[in-house]
Amino acid sequence: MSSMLQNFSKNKTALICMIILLFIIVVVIFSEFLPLHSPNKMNKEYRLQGPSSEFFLGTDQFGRDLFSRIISGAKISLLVGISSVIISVGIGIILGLIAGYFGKWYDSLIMRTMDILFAFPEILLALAIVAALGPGTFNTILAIGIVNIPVFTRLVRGSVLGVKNLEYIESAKSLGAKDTRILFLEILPNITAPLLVQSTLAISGAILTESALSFLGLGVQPPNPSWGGMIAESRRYMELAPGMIIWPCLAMLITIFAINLFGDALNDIFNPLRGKN
Amino acid sequence: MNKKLLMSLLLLVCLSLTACGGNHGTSSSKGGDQLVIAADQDPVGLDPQTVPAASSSRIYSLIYNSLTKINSNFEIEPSLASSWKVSDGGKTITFNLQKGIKFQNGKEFTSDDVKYTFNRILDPKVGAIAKSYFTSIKDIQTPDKNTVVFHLNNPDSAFITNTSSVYTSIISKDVKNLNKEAVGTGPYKLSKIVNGQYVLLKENTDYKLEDKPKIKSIKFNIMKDDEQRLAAIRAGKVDIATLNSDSASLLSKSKNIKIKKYQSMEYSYLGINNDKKPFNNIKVRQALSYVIDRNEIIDTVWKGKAELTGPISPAQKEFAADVKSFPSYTQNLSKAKELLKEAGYPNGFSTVIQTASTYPDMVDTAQVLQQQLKKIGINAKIEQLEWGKYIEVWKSKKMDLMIGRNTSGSDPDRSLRFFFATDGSANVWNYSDNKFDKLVQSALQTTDSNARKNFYQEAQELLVNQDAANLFLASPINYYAVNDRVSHFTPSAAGEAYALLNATLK
Amino acid sequence: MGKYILKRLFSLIPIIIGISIIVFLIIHLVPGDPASIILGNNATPEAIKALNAKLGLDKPLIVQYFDWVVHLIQGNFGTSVQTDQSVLPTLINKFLVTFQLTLLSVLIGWIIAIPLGILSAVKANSVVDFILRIISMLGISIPNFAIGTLLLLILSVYFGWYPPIDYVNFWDDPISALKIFILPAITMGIVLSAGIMRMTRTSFIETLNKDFIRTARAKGNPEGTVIVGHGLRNSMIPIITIGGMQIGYLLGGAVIVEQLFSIPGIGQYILNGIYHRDFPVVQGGVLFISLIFVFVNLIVDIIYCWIDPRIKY
Repeated sequence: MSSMLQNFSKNKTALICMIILLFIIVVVIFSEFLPLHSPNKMNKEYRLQGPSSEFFLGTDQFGRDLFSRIISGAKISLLVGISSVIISVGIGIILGLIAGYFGKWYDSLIMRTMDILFAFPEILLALAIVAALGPGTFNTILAIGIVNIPVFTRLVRGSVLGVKNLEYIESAKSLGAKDTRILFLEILPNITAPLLVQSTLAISGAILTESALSFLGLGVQPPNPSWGGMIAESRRYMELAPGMIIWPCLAMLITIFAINLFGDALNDIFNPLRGKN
Repeated sequence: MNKKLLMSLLLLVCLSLTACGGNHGTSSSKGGDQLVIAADQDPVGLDPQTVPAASSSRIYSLIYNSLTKINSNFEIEPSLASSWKVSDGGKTITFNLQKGIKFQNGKEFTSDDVKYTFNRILDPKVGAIAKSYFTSIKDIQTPDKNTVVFHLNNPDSAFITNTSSVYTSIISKDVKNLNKEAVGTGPYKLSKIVNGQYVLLKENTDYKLEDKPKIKSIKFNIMKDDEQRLAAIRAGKVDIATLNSDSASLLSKSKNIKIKKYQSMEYSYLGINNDKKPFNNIKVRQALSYVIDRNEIIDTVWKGKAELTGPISPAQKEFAADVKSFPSYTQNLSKAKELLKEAGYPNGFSTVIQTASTYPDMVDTAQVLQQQLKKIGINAKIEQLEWGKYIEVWKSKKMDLMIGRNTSGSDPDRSLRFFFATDGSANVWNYSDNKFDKLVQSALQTTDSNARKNFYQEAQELLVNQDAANLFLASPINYYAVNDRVSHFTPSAAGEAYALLNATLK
Repeated sequence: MGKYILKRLFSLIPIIIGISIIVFLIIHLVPGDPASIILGNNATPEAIKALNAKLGLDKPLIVQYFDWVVHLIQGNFGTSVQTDQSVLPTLINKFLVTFQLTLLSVLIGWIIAIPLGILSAVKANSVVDFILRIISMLGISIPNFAIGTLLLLILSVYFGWYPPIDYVNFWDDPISALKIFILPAITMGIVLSAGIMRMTRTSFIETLNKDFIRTARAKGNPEGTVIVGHGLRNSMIPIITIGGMQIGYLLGGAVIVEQLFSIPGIGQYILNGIYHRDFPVVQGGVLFISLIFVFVNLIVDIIYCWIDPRIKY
């Protein structure tokens, strides 16, 4: 573990990305205390304006302050990204552990179900779920979460199969340890690395999926801004007010960049033998 | 800054594109006599009696004729009927039909086809759109090949106007599946339909009526995305495209393209469930009417390119009420607060505004209204529904508030009775007012046109000002971008088909 | 080997049945029915009832499911509620369109990503490597509809260019077809290139560290020959694998791009079906894509098994 930390502090990319992400998170948490316009307040005299001292990044078609909307959008986009991954990781871990550890018909049942879910086209499945449940932030999170379950279940199952027959598990079993204890205290800690890497990728994927749902009008509901929703909405104003699409794109770009590079760096840290040498 | 880099990158892409196909620069679709229209949706079937979608009706209205038609001044003109006579105190209407007209399958058009058409419309199993227009029909007779006589239960002043509707297009009694075969008497024939791509119409060379088309063929290319249609008309790939007001203002500078506009017969509204708490309280509805600022919606959502409206669109000049004079059309916060207090909600309440994700203007309207309602403490949550679910909620009659769009139709009977009478087919708002019902019924049965007008004035006043059953917001101006290749295309509320039949190509 | 394939084929049966049940349930649980959507705000209760009866939607759900399955087994996917067209031929047609688009996208992805990936690997851990890796991630950091709209806008405003508006088959008119596909394919290619480039880089770095490359270098071969001749050839397997995976993914994932550019592909067909509650289209379409996906997976597994017989289930 300490060598991992050492690796981490040596890896400049990981460090920079983490600082960026922490900064975003801090801004999001304390945004209420910043002297910003209300993100949903309309000012009809200031429609589609460029940057000014009053509106740092300009305004949208309702005269709402783009800067505060982007900060507010960060909150929503990260919420969607992180919560949906928590759902898929949570369910994926449980199903994957059961399938991998107990095997037999548990394995068949779970993995065939995952195969079924996995075979559905991602966007169409999310769309159908949102259409069935109704739109809204929570349902968007749920839909994206469900769509990603198979990925994590497969990952966890594969990792469990990899460590299941190792000596220390066998010895724990022979000492009479309970299955749940073995699963959560012995096996799970050993598969955190690939899970963490996959999770970072899934978060950025979830943010993009939300934007696709927003493009189809079924993501986070207005007036609350998600970055994807802002981008989808501002396509109509690309020529009149290019800032409306540039800024949220840039915000999304930086964040997803940071998350992905962070994931890459984690991968390098956990698997020091692969990648760079 | 990085715009330059981007531009040069894209230039590279373009160069490579032109390099691999320089000679094919002129598109085949620009062939001499073909007009290309960018359509936003696929037609969803072509049965004129049961498919109301605009994407379908813009096509079948070129293939079929009705007994009468409406011109751009809202006057009734002959079409398949050359003349008509009202007798028996308005209870008998006799149509004389044009002679020597043939359907596109070669069969002769006779009074039997008219009778067949109307019987089909009235057949409950068919579920025709126009069924509710013709509830007054008692009996249809065909004394000879070229005469149709309608006997009515009661005088029906909207009857003749209703025979001009595309939903009463005359169909051939020999065609059974109208979604598979489109056989009309109209100026164009269906030549080819490729789902998701285009619909091709060719001139009906046997067409005998006066409005003979001047363009050999019309092609509707399906382009679902607004930005895509804008790009296509800019690049000259299509001749005609409908646009929103933002795109129209962008295009006004480009050469080779003219912008045509007309006052539409549509309007946007805030639908209110008159049965549901707290909206069952008339004072709450009135408060809503006073707190909202319709002009802000017009400015923000429609960029000023819309008119204030009541239930009858301002395009129907003769019948539309002068809504500007209605007190509730001027925002009055203190009055709104007072009304809300009297209704027992001094601090407001929470509710939901539902809207369809398909239409950006509806979503924008919802956002503006949400902010306005906040001013008297009403917290509304917005829900964008996917179209199928939207319709489901709409017909459930269980909504709270709902943004929507109506086509007010060419006759006030449709604008009022169809949407708001207690037994109106599209009255999903649980609105029921005895006096209103009587007014619209009397208006329908009177033969005196002045009296009719007065009934409708009173009905609108009651519906809008007194009951605030729904809030009528704005009737948009519709825009067409037209390539200079096309002349004499003058869109109006009389319909696209009317304008297309007059258009010529350079 | 034959036994293994047979076993795998049999294991597909429950999956296919599962897929058919789930797709049927999802679309029928989504509120809304085709009749009321077709009729829109002109709907009257009796009109909706009449249309639903005509479409057979008034029967119990379970009866509808078995009707559907029985027809499926007979090779009949039903007819579209919206257009009255037979679903299966339309699906095959649209699938071919999406397939072409997908191939071109992967190709463009490769053209962008492989040279950059090689360069990145050769210059590993340098500033150039860092910048290239960042560029490669652009495509997966912005929604593809934003990229696509930007391409359309710039081309039409500044160059007056717009792709041909009539879809043509590649074998009828390859140049027009190419022009139609190029924008959506670039849009998707940019997205794909991130994954391909990452894979190219990793696999190339591994190859370059192998003994035979060192030997080639030691023999005094020019660096270019070493990289292209020896390195590329030996790194292609993982690159091709990821390309194959992407094809499978894209077949169902091209929905947004198809919608944006009016490409009459299978994604747009199903999306439209969902919007209009065109049950036969959605059921048939999703089943069709899922089946292809399942079979592609099966084939990949079989190939792996053939390469490395130790893999067993």
